[in-house]
Amino acid sequence: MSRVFWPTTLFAAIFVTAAALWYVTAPPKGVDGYRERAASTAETLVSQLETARLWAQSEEEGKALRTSVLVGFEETEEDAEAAASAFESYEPPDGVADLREELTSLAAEATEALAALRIAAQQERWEDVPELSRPLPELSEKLSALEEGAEP
Amino acid sequence: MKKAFAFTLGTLSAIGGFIDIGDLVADAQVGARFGLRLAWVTLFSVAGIMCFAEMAGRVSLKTQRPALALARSRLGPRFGLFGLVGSLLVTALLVMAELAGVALALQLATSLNYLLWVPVAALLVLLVFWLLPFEIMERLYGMLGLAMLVFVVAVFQLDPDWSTLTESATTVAPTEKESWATYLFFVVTLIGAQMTPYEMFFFSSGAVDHRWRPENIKELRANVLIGFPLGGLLAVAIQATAFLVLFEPGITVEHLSQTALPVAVALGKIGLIVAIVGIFAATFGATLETLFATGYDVAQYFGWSYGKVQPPSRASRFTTTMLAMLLGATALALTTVNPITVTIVAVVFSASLLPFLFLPVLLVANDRELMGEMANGRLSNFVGTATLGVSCVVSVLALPLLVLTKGGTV
Repeated sequence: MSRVFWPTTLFAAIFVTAAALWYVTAPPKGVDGYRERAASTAETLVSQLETARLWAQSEEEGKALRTSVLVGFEETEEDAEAAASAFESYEPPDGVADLREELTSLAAEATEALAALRIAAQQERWEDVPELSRPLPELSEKLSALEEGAEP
Repeated sequence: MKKAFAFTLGTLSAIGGFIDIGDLVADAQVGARFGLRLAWVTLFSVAGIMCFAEMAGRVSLKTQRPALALARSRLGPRFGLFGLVGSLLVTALLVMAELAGVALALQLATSLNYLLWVPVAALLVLLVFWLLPFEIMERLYGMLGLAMLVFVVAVFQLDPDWSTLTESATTVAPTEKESWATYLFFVVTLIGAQMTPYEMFFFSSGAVDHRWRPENIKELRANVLIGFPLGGLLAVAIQATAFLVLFEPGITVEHLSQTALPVAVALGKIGLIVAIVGIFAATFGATLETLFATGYDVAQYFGWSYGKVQPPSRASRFTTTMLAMLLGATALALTTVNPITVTIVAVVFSASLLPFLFLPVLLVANDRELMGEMANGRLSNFVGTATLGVSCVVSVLALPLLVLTKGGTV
């Protein structure tokens, strides 16, 4: 029995693991799948923009260590870029060109805004941070609206 | 003073075990996405881990042997090996995650990339392990970990609407935006993060290391009664601060820095510094605990001499196992694998292993021939059986939910 049992178990385990990995990493399928992915990308971008806004606000009010603020800016920029580039890599199905263009453009604005904050912090231009963080709420609002509209 | 210090085994277990990298991340994630709608899971986890830690400790007091080693020896080498391999894999991932947590805390304080801090953190762990006696080690990190209480202070400073918090805490359902699958995934994640097997290994083997006897039962229970509820309080406070600051703007927690952010908003620089110290102490303590748990686990299975009270040369295989684990964890952390992702995967796997660790302890603690008067009473059996039952369900659901919700991202 054990001569058959262990290879079968091992094969089943490999098969299930491969299927699970495929499911987790597979690109979106169809219009609904694409819209769902657009909504979750917009959600991620909102999360990054709002995190950066809170760090910037805390810095402006003298509530946060500058080292921590810089780490916060670096992480938000990195995550926003990763989310945006992952979305751009998906093959869009027919009928979603407008959605793709709108999200891609907003994502570019968001990553640029976050990069500007990170660069200012790295160059210790802390006096520029309040000004640079001003567009973040508006960008967040636009992305939230897009997220709601994109939900299938 | 001496009595106060006697509680540090429980405090260290609670701060370094209950509040470790898994909890720091999972609690903030849960608070930001569900508010306090999963606070009941923390209550359940506290009751469950208190019950099993007390049971494991009681078995050790009575028999002078660690509960799991004893239980495994009775269930046969195959069952023992299965449990050993499973818990070793999970604990190895956790050692890496905890070490990265120490590095991330140092990154927050200095802004130097955490990868530069990983080898430094490993060296610090090695020095502390090698040079500090067990008691000083556990007291130092137990006490420093109390800095985590800053999260409780932050909740009050944020001046919350208590009725909103109460309403959230008494709602057992996902928010409008979230699905039931995601809600259940976070139930599993919290249970895995808060009832980690190594807490039991550490508690039980630590009691043997302290050479506690049956007359130390009061100290044991005091440690359990103070330490774990304290850990639970801190966990709920982290959930609450994340809810109050991160929920409304729609922030999803993906970094340790986001766990500390609400404290900065509430208490400013001083609060943030205290939070960073607390995070450092909690993850450092957890790195030591997970390393010890690994050493205890392997040494007890193979019958090697073990224990921190002995010089490293007298427990060379125990020491080598821990050093090899530390080296492996450092190498894994330096591969740039995302420590937060590793943490979530590790706690989910940990949740799936719980019944295999709880069942043997429950059986041994019920053996009246072995335990005599110290065998389980009705309360221990009721809470223990209920915890075991829930952990069986969690064990079955853990991996399917991890895949279905893509690690809680959908």
